[in-house]
Amino acid sequence: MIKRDIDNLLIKLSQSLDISTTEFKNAETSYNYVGKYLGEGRYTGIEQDCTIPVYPQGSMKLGTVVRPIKDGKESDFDIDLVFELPTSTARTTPNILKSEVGNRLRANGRFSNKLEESRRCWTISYNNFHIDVLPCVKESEFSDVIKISDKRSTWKESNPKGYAKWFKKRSDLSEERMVSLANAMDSRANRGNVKIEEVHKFIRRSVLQQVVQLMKRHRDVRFIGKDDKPISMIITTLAAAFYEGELSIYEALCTIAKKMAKLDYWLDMSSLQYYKELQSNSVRALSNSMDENPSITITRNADGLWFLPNPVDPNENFADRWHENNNAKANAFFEWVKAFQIDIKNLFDFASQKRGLKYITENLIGSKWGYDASQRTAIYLAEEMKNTSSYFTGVGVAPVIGSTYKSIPKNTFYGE
Amino acid sequence: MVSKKFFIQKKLNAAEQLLSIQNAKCNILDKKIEKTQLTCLIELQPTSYSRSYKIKLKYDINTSHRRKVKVWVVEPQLKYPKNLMDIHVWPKERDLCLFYKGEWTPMKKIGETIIPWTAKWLYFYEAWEVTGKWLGGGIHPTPRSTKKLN
Repeated sequence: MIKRDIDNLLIKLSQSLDISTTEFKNAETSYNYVGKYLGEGRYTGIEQDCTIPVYPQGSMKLGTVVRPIKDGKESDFDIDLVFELPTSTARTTPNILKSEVGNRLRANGRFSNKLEESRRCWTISYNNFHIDVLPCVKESEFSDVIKISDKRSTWKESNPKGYAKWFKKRSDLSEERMVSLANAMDSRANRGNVKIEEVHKFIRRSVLQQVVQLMKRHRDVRFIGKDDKPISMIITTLAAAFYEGELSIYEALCTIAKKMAKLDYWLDMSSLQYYKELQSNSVRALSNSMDENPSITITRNADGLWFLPNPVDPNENFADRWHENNNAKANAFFEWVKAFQIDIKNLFDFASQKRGLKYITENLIGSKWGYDASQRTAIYLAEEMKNTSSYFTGVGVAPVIGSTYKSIPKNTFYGE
Repeated sequence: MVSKKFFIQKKLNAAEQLLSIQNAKCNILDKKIEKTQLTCLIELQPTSYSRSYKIKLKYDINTSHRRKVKVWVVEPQLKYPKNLMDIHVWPKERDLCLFYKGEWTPMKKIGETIIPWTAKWLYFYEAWEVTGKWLGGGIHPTPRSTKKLN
């Protein structure tokens, strides 16, 4: 009973971190507009009737979007739009690629005062979200790997499609499948033949997606005004790697956080035995990464460098900065994991102590996941009670699943 | 041999209502039947993480009051808003407003209606404590009209 109710509360909490359907629709409209507009542009080495793929990446693609927090308040969210020009690094340069896309965007009056250049992308600011346009080229016809322009001077390799496929595979371990309401909008522009991949709208998130959302927001709140915030790629990758298909969010959170926390033994490099273990482990880590199903985890080598290889690109190391400043980022990560474990345990304890919803929201959810999130959680819980069938257990009310239980007859709160 | 039985609905007496509460698997802390009046003390807890509440229920077919059943939250002491009707509590006796007109009659089993509705009321009460809004819907009786809340 307790675990079922805690799971329900966690589901509502993760929904409270998600973007609303309206926000999503607005973002989707703008995303499609930008994609179509870019596809109609002229670029060096691209023929007129070429299909230029446009697709999302990042948390929008993975379904792990969390309303960001800036300066302690909820702020705009990001959509990553990958614009994949069908040419190669041999036929263009990082500078030409980046600047031509920028010019195309600047030529549109709609974007002129909303455009900003970052290291790898062009950011268009809207009312409550940004679109990060990522110009890139493909490495080869036969792989998903792309090359991005880094500071207009070098190529950086990435594989967002490959990562999304890997994440989905991990997420699908649970039987509840993601219900993706994909818009069947495969629109082709009049000229330029833009092939736009639908931005998947996940109404019902999988357990893994919700785990990632809950962890990311907890991290966001904890690191307000602090340095060395653990990056989302590390949290997302470890959560997905350690997820075993649990159907209960609470169970998944406990297990994943526990596995993350155990990795802190790498912090202690004092004994020689550790060194030897590290040596053999780092070799194992490398060879693992070449396998079909590498065991994705954090390791360290004898020089003290940390490794978390990208599951789809062993050359990319998400933890490449963990050793800096006397392992500042590594320490920050493990401190965050410990705090997360404590907060999840507190959730269970407060629930067991029958403290009531207000106690839980004020003393835990509000302070650890944000006040707005705690309010929305209560609202979603109440809306569910109002709008769905429940049955009486003799003590309380529980949701009706299937036709096993007798629903409580409808009533209206009224005095006469 | 299946015979069609025609049930003539009759008002349930105190003992029958008490039975319906027992059949609903309620935790009855105290009960008393005096003539036609049933009084009982029940423990309710909407969800596993909610507080536990003690509810007093009075049922009497022969009472002159329009409503034959009344429910109070006895423990813990509830926090009330300035306007008690905001959370659907009668200002006079501070009993709960749980149903509208025909939704309940003395012919219906309390264990299947009033008690579960009270559990739901408590659920919305806890949500009201957090948000300051009553999210369970309901109708406010006003002198001239009933304004239906969504």
